[in-house]
This record gives sequence, C-alpha cells and structure tokens, in this order.
Amino acid sequence: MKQSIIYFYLMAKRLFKKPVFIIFLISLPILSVALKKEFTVNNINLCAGVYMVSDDPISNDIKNRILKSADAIKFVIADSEAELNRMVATGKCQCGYVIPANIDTVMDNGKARHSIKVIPGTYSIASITNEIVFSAIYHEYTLHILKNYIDETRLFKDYPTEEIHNEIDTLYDIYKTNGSTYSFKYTGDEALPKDASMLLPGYIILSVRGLLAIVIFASCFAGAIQLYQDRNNGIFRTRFGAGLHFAGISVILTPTLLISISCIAGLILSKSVNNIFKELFFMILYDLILTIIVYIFTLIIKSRTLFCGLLPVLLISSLIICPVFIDVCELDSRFTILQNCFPPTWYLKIFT
Amino acid sequence: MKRLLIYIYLQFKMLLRLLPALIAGVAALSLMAGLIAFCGQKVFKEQSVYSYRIKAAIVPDDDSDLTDYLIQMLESTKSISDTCEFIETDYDTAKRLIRQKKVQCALIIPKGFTESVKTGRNLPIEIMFSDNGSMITLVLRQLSVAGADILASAQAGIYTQFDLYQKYNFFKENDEANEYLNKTFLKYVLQRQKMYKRSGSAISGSISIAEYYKCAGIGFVLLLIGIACPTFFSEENGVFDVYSSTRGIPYLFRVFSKIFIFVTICECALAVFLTPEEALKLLPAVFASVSLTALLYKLSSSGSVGIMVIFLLNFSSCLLSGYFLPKVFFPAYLQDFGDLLPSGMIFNQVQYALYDRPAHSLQLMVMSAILLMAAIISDTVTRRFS
Repeated sequence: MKQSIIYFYLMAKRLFKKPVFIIFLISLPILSVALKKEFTVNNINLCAGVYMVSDDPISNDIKNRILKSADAIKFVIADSEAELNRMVATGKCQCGYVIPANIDTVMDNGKARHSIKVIPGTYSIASITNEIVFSAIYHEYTLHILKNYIDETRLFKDYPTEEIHNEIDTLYDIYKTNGSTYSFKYTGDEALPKDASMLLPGYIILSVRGLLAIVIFASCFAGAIQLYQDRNNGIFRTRFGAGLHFAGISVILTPTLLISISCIAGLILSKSVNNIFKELFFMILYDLILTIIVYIFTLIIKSRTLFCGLLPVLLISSLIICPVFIDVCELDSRFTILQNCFPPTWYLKIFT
Repeated sequence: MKRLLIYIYLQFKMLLRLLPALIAGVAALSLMAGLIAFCGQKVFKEQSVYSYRIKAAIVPDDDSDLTDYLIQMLESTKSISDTCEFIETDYDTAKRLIRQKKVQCALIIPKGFTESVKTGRNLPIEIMFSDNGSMITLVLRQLSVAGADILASAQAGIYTQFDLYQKYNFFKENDEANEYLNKTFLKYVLQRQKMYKRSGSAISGSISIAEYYKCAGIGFVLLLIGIACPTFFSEENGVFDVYSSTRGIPYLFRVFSKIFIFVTICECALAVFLTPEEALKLLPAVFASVSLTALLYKLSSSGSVGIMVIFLLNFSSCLLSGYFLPKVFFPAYLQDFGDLLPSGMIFNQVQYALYDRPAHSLQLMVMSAILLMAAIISDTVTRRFS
C-alpha cells in the first residue's frame, strides 16, 4: 500500500514538472466555462435574411415593408451577399433573399423569372417566406403598374403627373389601411407561443461534459504512451507479477485522475453538476474502467508506434460517434452498437 | 546510375512492405471521413417545417363552386401545405375540435364570401386558434396576413383606379382599365413562385454538401496517411548514411526519391478510385501533403512522436480549414487563415480537381517546395549537430 502511494506520488511529481501539463490543468476549467456559454442553444428564432442589391427608392420601400411584416418569422437586412450567406450558413437565418436593383424595371421588362435569388439554409421556411417577400414587393409593384397605366393612357395628360401620382399614392394607402380591402379575422391568437425551440433538432448535443470525457480518454492514452517509454527505461526493474501490473496501471491512472479533477472543477464552474457525490463516484469509476481497458491494450499491442498510430483513429472516432457534439444514433439507429463500444459513451449515458 | 536505380528499387520495396499498414491506414481514415461526411450531410441537410405542420379544420359555409376552388387552391399551395393539414368539416364540429385541442386552428369561410369579394364587401374568413397552438400556428397567421395583403394590394389598385376615373370624369374608360389591371395584377400573382431561383447551399457554395465532404474526406486521408508509415520517412542510421554518400548516392537524391516514390504510389491509388485526369490534377495536393509529412517526421525525435505531431497539427489545421465544420461558421479572419494553411490549399485543390472550383495550384506547389526545403534543412542541421 505504501509503495503504491509512493508510485502515485512519483508519477504525479513527474507530471507536475512539465509546464504544459500544468497549463492544461488550469485551462480546462476556464475552457469549460467558456464552452458552456457557446454550447447553450435553448432556442432558435425563425428568421429570414434579405439583401437589397441597391438602395433605389423601390428597394427601400420593399425593405421597410418586409421589416414591418415581422411576426413569428423575423427579417434581417444584410449589408452584402457574403454576409447573407454567412447568416444563413450559421443558422442565424433559415433562408436568405437577394433582391435585385430596380425590381420594378426588371418586372416591367419581363425579366421577373428567377430574378430573386433564394439561399436555402438547413431549415427551410422558404416556401412561407417567399409569400411574405412577394407580398411586400407586390404592394409596391401594383402601385407602379397603376401609375404606369395611368401615364400610358394619356387620359390625365392635362394634369401634372406628380399631382396624379400623389393622389394615387394617397388613395392606395387609404384603401390598404381603412379596412375596405380584404383581411382575415383572428380569434384566440393572443396567447400563441413564440418559442421555436421545438424546431431544434434532437441530435444536436453540444455537451461540455462530452468534450471533457474525450479529454480524459485522451489523457489515458497519453499515460499509456508514457508507460511504453517506462517499460524501456527500466524503472519497473524491481517490480514483478501483480506489482508490475499495478505499477503500469498507476502510470496511466495518475494523469487520468489529475485531468479528471480539473474536469470536475470545470463541470462545477460551468454549473453542469447536480449531485457532486454522484459526479465524483462515476468520474472515478470511468477513470478506473478506462485505465484498465487502455492497460490491456498496452499489453496486447507491444509496439509503441502501432499504439500511437491507433490513437488518432480512436480519438477522432470517439469525437464523432460518442454523444459529444451530435448523437449519431438519432441520425441512424444502426450506430447504437458502435456507440456503445466506446467508453466515453458509457459515462455520458449515465448523465442523459 | 545503376546504384541510384537500385536505391530507388529498394525504397520502393520498403514502401511495398508497408503496403498493408498503408491500406489499413487508408481504410481507417476513409471510414472516419465517411462518418464525418454522413454526419455532415445529415446535420446540414435542408429540412422543412413540414414535419411540424399542424392540423387545421376548414369550414366552407359558402356553398359556391368558387369556394371549392379556393379550398383546392389553398391545399395545393406549397406554403400552406407545408404549414398545415386541412380537415374539412362543419362549424360545430370545428368548434368542438378546437375545444378538444384536436386541431390547432379552424378557418371559417362565411356564407356569401365569394359574392362579397366580387362586390367589394369583403367578408373576412375567420381563423380561430385553439389555446394549444405552437410556433407553427403563428407562422400560419403571418402567412395568412401576407396572403390577405396580396389580395388587398390588387383590390386597393382597382379601387384607386375606379375613384380616380370617377373623380376626373373618365368613367367611360373604367371597364377597359379595370380589365387590364385585373389581368396584369393576376398575372404576377400566379407567376410569383417563378420569380425565385434557389442558389447553391450557403454552407458548401456551388457544390452540394455531399460533394463538399467528399473533397474534405480525400484531403483528410491525404494529410493523415503519413501516420501509417513512420519508418519510411524516419532517418536512416548514420552507418547507412555514410555508406550511401561514399557510394555516390547523395543525400538530396535519397530525400527526393522517397518523396517521388510515395507520391507515385498515392497517385496510382487515386487513379484507381478517381479518374486519371482527376488524379493528375491532385498531384500538387499529394506533393504538398507528402512534403508536410516528411517535414514533420524530420522535426520529430522518433516515429511515435512524429505520428502524434502529424495527428495534432493536421487535425487542428483540418478543423480550421473547414474539413469538419464548413469554414463559413468561422469569423472572416479565421476563414482567411484556414485558406493559407497547407490543409486549406489542399482542400481547395481537391475541389478544383473534382468539381472545377477555383484553386491556386501554383501557390500550392510553391508551398510544397518550401516545406520540402524546410525538411531538408532541418534534417541537415540535425545531422550536422549530432
């Protein structure tokens, strides 16, 4: 027992001599807090982006009308097409529209077909927002058609054009707002919820705990690489049988435990812990199981180079397959067996 | 000359001995790339609110044929069919369904509705909402407001023209104007969906998500394949070094022959899976990844360290270059930085080779040459000091 404690102490002392390890230990809790903020996605807003290619008068009117039509679906104006692309790609908007300059002239010239570019996002509400955008364009364009027709008939040639146009504008606005044109009557819509979180896909997890579980997984492997080195440098010369196995396990367990302490601190600081005793118990259990599995790997795989070659495959696979960023089982249930082969999954499933 | 050819032959044999490890490495990396592509496609796949559409009762109290036509038009309009599923019923049943929360809203088309629209009386369609409504119910409301606004704009145009003609005593021309305006207004409403043109995905640009991740997968395998053959790039021992130099096999020739053999094997493998033309276009990318691998192994003290360095550096640079999460998610400065990295240039080159997207092959070749020179210089310095 005394020798075991001495071994742990010596392994820990060796680790603490490496500044990189200390920096890593300190930065983990800070990163956990920062990532928790980034990873908290508890609501999404339905939003469409609009980019007006130019700021001609009709484009400005259409833009203002689109912004005024916001309700369940909001509209955001982008300053450039690149910005609009980014807003749609990152999910800030579910789709985007690029409305060409002087759309009234475009439509007059019969070039309305495919004149408005629609940028689809991952969540398509374009079939709905198409109607809303069109209603804003149509409001302005019907006015334009009317004015053009009045000008072309030459019936009003004896009157100043501006005066007639102003009169048209006034009458048009009156009829749109005085209730004499068509509208729906709504009842019971006062308390409808604006929460769109039901649209959040179930497979998105973005878990700080998941990331920390992978960090512990990686630290276990780092301990194993150190073990390969220690087997060659003769520090286990005096150990035999069970003592030798225990010494080997301690080389792996020491960095794992130390990193786990830092991870627990990270979970506490990021307010991801409900029951500290449950957390500690399962963390220690996870560390022990992981250490034993990795130690068995080191007994089977004699070559350090081969073990290092397997490491990237296992780490990248665990980042994808384990429920860290997304739950692949939600995407396809056939991954369940594969997911359950990875130790971080066993730990993470306890807390879901 | 004979010695040089024998040396190349021996290096080739050495790489062939590592072929099982290379094949296993390619298989493992391809599986991972495939998994990333699968997840990326599913996550970034366009989804519709159709999955969340609500049930709505529709009550056609107006008996006219136009009401049936209106209901058919509503059900066939994509924006409405994406949002709700209609159940045709009577008023009392609709109210009961609302109360029992079996439907989230009910549309009541009043008696005399179509006549009222023709005469300008405009009896409104009532939309009743139940109190278990969701966000989609609000969306439906917004959609109905937009639809009503379209009809109202046309009506306001007609009424305005009527008033203007009446005021200025041109009422004789009213019918002609009315007919023209009705026809024109209706034309644009019926053709409204044709105004829109879907562009490529905002995430992957002009190529699809699947194509994007295919390119990412190829780049990922190219960057990490060096992990499978540390012994090929590791230093030869000092005795062999001296032996080669005294027998007229210069150091630079040894380095270049290793690079040449590895690039040739990679190109042959690529020609099997892709077309020869695509494999040839990928030559700068292959050369860059091999040069980078050689440099990282030369900088590492052992094969194992080299593997870890290649993995950590290339994995991080793949992340920054958009191999896993498309670059468009990053701030602009990180996107530009990702493009400057070897992984970013390799990614662009792969997209050029497969889908003719713009790339800078010359810059990639220059970067590869710099990486190779760096590998040679670092190795020379290490050998001189050891």
